[in-house]
Amino acid sequence: MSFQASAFIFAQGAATFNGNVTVGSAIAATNIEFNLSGVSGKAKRIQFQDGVTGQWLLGQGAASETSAFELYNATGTIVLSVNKSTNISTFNGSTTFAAKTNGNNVTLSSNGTAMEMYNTSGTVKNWQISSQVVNSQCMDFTPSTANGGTTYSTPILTIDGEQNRVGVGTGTSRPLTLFHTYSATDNLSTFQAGSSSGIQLRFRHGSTLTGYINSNTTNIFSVYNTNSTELVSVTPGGDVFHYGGTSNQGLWTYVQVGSCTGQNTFNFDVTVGDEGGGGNIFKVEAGFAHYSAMAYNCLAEFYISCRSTGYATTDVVRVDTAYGGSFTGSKSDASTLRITKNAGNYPGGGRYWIRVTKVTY
Amino acid sequence: MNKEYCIFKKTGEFVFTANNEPQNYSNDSDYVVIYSDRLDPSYSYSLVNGEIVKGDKWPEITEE
Repeated sequence: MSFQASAFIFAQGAATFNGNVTVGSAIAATNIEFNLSGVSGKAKRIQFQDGVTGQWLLGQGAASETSAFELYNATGTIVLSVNKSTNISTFNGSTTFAAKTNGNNVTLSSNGTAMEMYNTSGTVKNWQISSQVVNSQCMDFTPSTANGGTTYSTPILTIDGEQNRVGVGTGTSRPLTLFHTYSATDNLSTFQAGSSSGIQLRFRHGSTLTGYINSNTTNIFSVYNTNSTELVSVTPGGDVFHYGGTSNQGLWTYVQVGSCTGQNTFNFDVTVGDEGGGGNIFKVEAGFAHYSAMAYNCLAEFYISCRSTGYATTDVVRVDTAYGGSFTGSKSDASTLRITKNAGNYPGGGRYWIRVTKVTY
Repeated sequence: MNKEYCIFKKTGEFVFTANNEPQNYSNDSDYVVIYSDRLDPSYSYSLVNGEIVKGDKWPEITEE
């Protein structure tokens, strides 16, 4: 049986073809169109059946009879719906965009994109992962402001793709408190705070705080125990304070390092406090060298006991030379221990170092 | 950071260098304290018009 083109119109009823139906005849450079002409508010759809049992519906308002384009599984679920006005697509169920092979990517393309993870219980926070939405140049991980909510305003984790930083709790500001920088030859982790702020790294074992490290502009780091008692600190200049568990009662080590000549004389002053009616004793180690032969150098290791400006020196070892000079100790005032590099008569230069171990009154 | 505090007499003579700023010299008007690149102790230095000037290398010692 065949029909003529421009053939016929069935005014009503249905037609059944027992076999394949072909529309069009492959005419070059010619569009082919299959029209489903319906009315507003009713579906324009194609149905797929097993026998007379519906399996899938495809079309405009296929199940909802709206203007949305839909794929309906004929068992109660609209699997895919595309809104005609906004182009927003809604998938109902797990969605796989590509086979599990490399190179198949899902792209969210816009000037600022976000992906929302919504929990239908309504009792927990929902999440949004976004790019360029909250912080420029950043990817933000943001919980909803309320359980079950869909307002995402304050990120709790931010990755800065321009500065290679990771911020935790930095909110709507680009990361500053914590950042990590990587290069092929170096691997650095840096904690950064405001110019006068402290930084702490705390250690817990189970629920117990065992101690922490604090850094500020006075001390590069200080180690504290669980009772927040300072144990050890190191200054930017290299001085080491060992408090022994009680502030101001430990042994402190001061160092000075530099260069001079055999002919130079200078003083290294250390503030040690006034002993009052008690006494104090310090250990001093010092050395200067211009040459391998000791005649051009000097060194000393000695203890110096003090009260006010009075003092007495007990040498452990001492090499004073005419060329290099010597190291001696004194109290320049009641609160200052003075270590002096005394002049020799040789002009050659070299490195020196002085270390003073003390307790402060 | 290879920098240190360089201490000169106001008259230009080199005194010493130190890793920490020596307050007893910083507060003494007879001295000038400059935070600068670390000096090479193999050479002499002086302060001329506020600038550190590198001088001659110390002579080699030949005796043993």
